[in-house]
Amino acid sequence: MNIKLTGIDFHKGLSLLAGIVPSVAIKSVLQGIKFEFKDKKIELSATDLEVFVRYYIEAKEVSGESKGLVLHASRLCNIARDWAGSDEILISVSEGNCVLKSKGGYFKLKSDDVEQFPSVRADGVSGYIAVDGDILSNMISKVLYAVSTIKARSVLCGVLLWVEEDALVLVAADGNRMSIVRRKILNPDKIKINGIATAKCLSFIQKFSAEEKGVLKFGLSESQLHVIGSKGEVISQLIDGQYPKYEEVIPKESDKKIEVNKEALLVAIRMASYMTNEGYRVVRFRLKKNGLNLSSRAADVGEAEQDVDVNYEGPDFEISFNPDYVIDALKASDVGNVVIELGRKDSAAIFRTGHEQINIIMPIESE
Amino acid sequence: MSFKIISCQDRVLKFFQNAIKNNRLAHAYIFVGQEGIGKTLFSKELAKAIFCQNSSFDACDDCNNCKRVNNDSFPDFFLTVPEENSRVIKIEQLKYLQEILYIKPIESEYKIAIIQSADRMNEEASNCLLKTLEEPPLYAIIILIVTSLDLVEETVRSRCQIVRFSPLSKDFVKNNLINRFQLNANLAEQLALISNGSLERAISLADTQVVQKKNWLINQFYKLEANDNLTFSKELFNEWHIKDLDTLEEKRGLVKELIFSFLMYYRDLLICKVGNLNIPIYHDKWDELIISKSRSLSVDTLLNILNTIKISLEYLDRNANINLLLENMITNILCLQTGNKISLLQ
Repeated sequence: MNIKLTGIDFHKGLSLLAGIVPSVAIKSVLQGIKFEFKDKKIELSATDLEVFVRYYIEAKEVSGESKGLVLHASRLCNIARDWAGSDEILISVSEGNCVLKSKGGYFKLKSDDVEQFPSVRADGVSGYIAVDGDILSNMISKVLYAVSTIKARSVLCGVLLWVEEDALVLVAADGNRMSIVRRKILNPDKIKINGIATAKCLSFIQKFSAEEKGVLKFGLSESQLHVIGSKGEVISQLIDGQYPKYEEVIPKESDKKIEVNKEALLVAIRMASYMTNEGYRVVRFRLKKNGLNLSSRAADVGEAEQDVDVNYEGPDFEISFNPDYVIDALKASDVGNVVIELGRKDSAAIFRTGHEQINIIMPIESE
Repeated sequence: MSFKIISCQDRVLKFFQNAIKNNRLAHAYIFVGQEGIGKTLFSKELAKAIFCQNSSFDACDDCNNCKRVNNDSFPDFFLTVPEENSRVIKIEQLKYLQEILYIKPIESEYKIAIIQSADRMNEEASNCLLKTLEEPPLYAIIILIVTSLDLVEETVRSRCQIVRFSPLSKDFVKNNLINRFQLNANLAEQLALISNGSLERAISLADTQVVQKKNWLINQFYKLEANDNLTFSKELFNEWHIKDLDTLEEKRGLVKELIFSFLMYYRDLLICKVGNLNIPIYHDKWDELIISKSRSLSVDTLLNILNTIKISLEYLDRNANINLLLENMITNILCLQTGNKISLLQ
């Protein structure tokens, strides 16, 4: 079988899939990328057993038949990178082998057994919802940083994807903070979606949507998240378990409310965080009339104070936070001013960092 | 291959066939039994029987799923073994497993994780595994393969169903050695006897010519004097070529066999002493030498010697220095044999 395609298409497809190929695979076959040939398309597949990606490349010319190939990903990516500028690459497939030819030379590669490569199909998805890829990618970036890295709490290692009526909600939490983002979507069929997607999958969907540039359709079955684009699809296994009821964590009684310039707060808290250490990451927020004072002190490091202008008329108030959590929330914000809502000294604070985007951050007892 | 290749484990086989038929598979099992009797093989066959596309209660060995389990490439089947040059399962391996188990199965209803040498985990790794055993996902089947339950943390043990594997029959081991490894009948018979029902051990004994070394060892036992302890342990190291081996793991393996030879010899003496000559022995035959040697030792002495050897085996598993361990064991044995007559000023 012979296939002709352009170097840039070959390079683009492979570099996208290389992101999912595990560097150290528990199963050796996963270190490969599977090639299948259908009509004038080359179907590339890669998986790490968590996320399965299928991506199509248009071929210029196809002749003959083949049952497919599994080629070692990193070697293939190196070849594709160097031939990215090539007008034409010829792939000749024979029994268990493949020859790649372009100007200047050729590579002969040995294929792994195609039958050994996992074949995953999306199964049991009740319906799909269309959403702009850029919007979905933007929503993901607003929650992904809050995903827990403690593997023992498996449900918090993922992001809750929740659709009801005409809203898509993404929620991530790690026990000390929670990030929620909500966007209106078109859902004429009233499809309900509720599942926990892995952080790795969502991170890959961001790359996938950057490549796709357009509308993505997504749907959930009992065990899978299925995202379809014009050039491929992503299938990811969901995390098993029940996500905590996130609405109950949002504080209902926050009597102090301040609006503050995001950049000014970000600079101030970052500077205050310089005077903290690994074991004691605490910045104290002191609210007083028309002012917010941030201070930090670590015995072996030193101390710092920063002032930020705010409109505040209420009584003096003190609360402390881990500066990293506040910095993460502010970095993900794309608005000029953020709103902070505070209740008691020991209750969670709400950081409204954008349109329908909130961060709940637990305070730290500083004394 | 399928359950048909499983030999000498009829009870276990019936138990699992019933469990598959009645859909009553537990979330966690401990397969316990000595090394080389087919625990991992059985667990793989069990996984194939569960994942098989053509058959409900056994593996067809023909479908894609069975072939992929055989090649360890089936996406819902995970076999975790100690890494190269390591005897223990590392916490990183368990963390990876934990992570992957909470992701729903890809191609089947179950996710099966087999952890080999699960009795060789440190406390930290045990605790990591415990978390998964406490709240296993509905689709998970975790199989821990161990040689001794004593080394498994009580908290882990109490959350698993324990399945005991029997040693293989002597005839089965012997026939395998003759048919599969083309050994002569006499050597196969001896290896089958000393391997204690473990085919893997019999094969490794054949490779290291332990039968010949064991015979040399027994001849030396008769000549031993009270003050020979240190010279004898040096001789042992030379004669068994322990120092010639490359890795510490190989050395430990051979020292273990050496200590087993001590154990077998004194076990035979004890049997001879109590006079029950119908119990099978590791010795070729009841000869005059062994009978006369057994007469010179009391039952208590023999029991104490066996206990000393058993403790040495335990120390070996806990990474004791092999030179000191052998010297200490031989000194203790000779002390017991001669009634503590060894001078400390040698």
